[in-house]
Amino acid sequence: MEHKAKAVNTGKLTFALVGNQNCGKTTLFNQLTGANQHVGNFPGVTVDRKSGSIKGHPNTEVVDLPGIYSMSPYTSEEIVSRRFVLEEKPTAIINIVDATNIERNLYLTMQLLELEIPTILALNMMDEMAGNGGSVLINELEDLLQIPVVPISASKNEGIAELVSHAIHIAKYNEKPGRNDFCGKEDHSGAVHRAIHGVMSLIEDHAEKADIPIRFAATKLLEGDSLVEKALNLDDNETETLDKIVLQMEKERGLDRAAAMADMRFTFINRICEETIIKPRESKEHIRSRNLDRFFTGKWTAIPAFIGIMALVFYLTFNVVGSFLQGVLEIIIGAITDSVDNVLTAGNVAAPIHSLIIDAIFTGVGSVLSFVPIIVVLYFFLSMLEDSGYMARVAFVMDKLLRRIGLSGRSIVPMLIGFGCSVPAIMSTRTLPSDRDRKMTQLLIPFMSCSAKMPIYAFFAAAFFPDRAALVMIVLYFTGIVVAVLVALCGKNTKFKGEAVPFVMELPNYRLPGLKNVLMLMWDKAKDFIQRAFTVIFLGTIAVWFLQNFNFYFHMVESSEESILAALAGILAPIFIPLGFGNWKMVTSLISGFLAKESVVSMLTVLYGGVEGLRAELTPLTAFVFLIFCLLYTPCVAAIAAEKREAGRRAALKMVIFQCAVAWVVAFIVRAIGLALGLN
Amino acid sequence: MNLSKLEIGKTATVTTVGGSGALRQHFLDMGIIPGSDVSMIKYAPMGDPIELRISGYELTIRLADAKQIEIDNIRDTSEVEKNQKKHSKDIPHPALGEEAFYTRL
Repeated sequence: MEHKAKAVNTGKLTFALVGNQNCGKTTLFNQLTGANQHVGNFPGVTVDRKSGSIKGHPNTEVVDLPGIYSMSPYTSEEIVSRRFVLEEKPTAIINIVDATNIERNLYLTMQLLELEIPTILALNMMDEMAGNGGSVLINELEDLLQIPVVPISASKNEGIAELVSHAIHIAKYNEKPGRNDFCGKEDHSGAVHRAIHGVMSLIEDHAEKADIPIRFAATKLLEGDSLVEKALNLDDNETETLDKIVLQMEKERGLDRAAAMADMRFTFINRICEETIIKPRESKEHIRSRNLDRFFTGKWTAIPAFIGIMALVFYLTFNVVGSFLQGVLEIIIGAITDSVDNVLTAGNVAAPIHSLIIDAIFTGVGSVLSFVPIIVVLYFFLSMLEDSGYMARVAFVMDKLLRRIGLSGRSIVPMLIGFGCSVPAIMSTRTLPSDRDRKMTQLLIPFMSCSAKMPIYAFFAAAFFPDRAALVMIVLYFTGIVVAVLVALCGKNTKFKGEAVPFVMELPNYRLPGLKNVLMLMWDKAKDFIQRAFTVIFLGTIAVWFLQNFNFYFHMVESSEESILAALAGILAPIFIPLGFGNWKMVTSLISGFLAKESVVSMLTVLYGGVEGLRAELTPLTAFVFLIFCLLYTPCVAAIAAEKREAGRRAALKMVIFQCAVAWVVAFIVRAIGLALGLN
Repeated sequence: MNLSKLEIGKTATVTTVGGSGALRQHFLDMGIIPGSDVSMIKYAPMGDPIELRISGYELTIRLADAKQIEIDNIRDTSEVEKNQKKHSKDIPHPALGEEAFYTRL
């Protein structure tokens, strides 16, 4: 093909990385950009915007877009991809296609080609296809599609250099696809073909004004795409003509408009495949997946397998690796804190500043960092499960159960993680398919009693219910779940009205997760947490430290009774009288639980001087009611910070208020029932 | 007959795709169009959703949604797989990264 004397793009070359889910897009993105990645946000949605320059080409930017199956978006994430390609006008598109699944992947390609943007097809997983006796006639495919096609294996890092050089070439010279006309003139006597071309002439000036590629606008309009229809702004006459064209096409074709358009594309795709694809025998990977699924989605084995795997992940994260790393971190931080402590003492630094540095700053930093080992280890396992394809099976197996409370199967994993720690649980809701699902799951996670609350239960159980400690714990956990279910059922019909995203999901073949991908994700999440949570937790720690150690004259106090915190607790105490613990000591410990759940016990011990003092103050019923309140009220500041990161400041605030309200109501009910039953 | 009644191990041809809006468009986009073949693989352990095979990949959908898809021409999946065309041509595999002739650099 000759290079016509076209303008050369000398500015920054932006590439949109577009493709189905599960086709190796993330792997390709990592191979293209290496360490030059930057994670930002798409405006208006909680979707990560991953971008980076191509290795060795600093004047480029590749943007990784959420996986989509067509330009008719289905979830709020897919809308992001569509909007980016249409509105941000990338210089070129890198369309990654899974060669082992080519028919479905090409459906998106057909629509991308209508956009008149330079496009290159990266035919991924060619190694898998070859290994199964299949092949693709690349030159013939290029002839039919009229765009460059480069066979690659993203996971093996092969073909990437060639992909890059061709991609940069088409971007630099603005080489648009050689054709966008895929409607067969002879198919079904050209009904669809005539309709498309009729619409194209009808909307020509409108499309230009709306800055939408005309062929794309025409096919979308015929499909019934309301977004395009609105953007074109046709007048009444034109709309009437359009309707006539649609009716004519539907009559001739015997299909409704959307089906007719889909059929046109698939007809062309079948023609391509017939001429260029040598279909492999059933692939080894597919046979392997089928056999694994006999176990993982088998009628009697699926749920035990799931429980087993989750239990293993939990055990390894919270009891083995995670706790080991936490221990190491604690030793390091402890050592640093001690040495600084000694320096300050030796330097005779004033008590307030000494305390500020040691008790506030170091404690604050320490508490932020203490979450990192858990997050990192948990995300290691989570991304292994996700990349291997197992998570899709989890959603498949658990969907029926979760649908009853208005969520989809995918939400089970974040909720289960919440039993360990709310922070990574809330972070992991980002993989859920819709905003509504995300928000609802985030609301329910704190009701899954996190492991930091265990010491509170254990302490009270030992003090008040010594022979029934286990029973009390079980009741508490169970109550948490019941309250979550009730909240979900209420929410289903009110605030979160409307279906969870309808469940249409691909089950990809199982595959070995790429270690590089997993490690990059772990690093991403840890960095993300530290950057975002740091300020909130840090400021919270200093605030509580100040309230706890100073009185209204801004002098340090000897005993907590004189502190501002105690005064505040005293003001809030009356709220808790109906619950049976309306005194400032109990309220103070509740407030300290805001920072970290573990603090509740230590605060109580300090204020009451020990278990005896507590036993004198509370009755068993009141103790139990207090436990119920602790179970349900605001999560710790780290979880609040995680929520703020995922859903914004207002959502985080609402979560705190909502939880405290629910906690109060449920505690009140429990107390009322207890009193009515004559318990004390 | 609708898709929710298709038995495991059977293949059918889609006649109509019911439903409306984004869900219907999504079915069409994923390859469930009138004239395409669908095979029933299994039910989830709790009975819902179902796993189907369409043009070479596995898809899961809920029974309630499957009810909206009409099918006929039911046959055994094993028979269908036996009769699938197999190319006999001996085609060389393109080397990965093989020069895309379309753009001459």
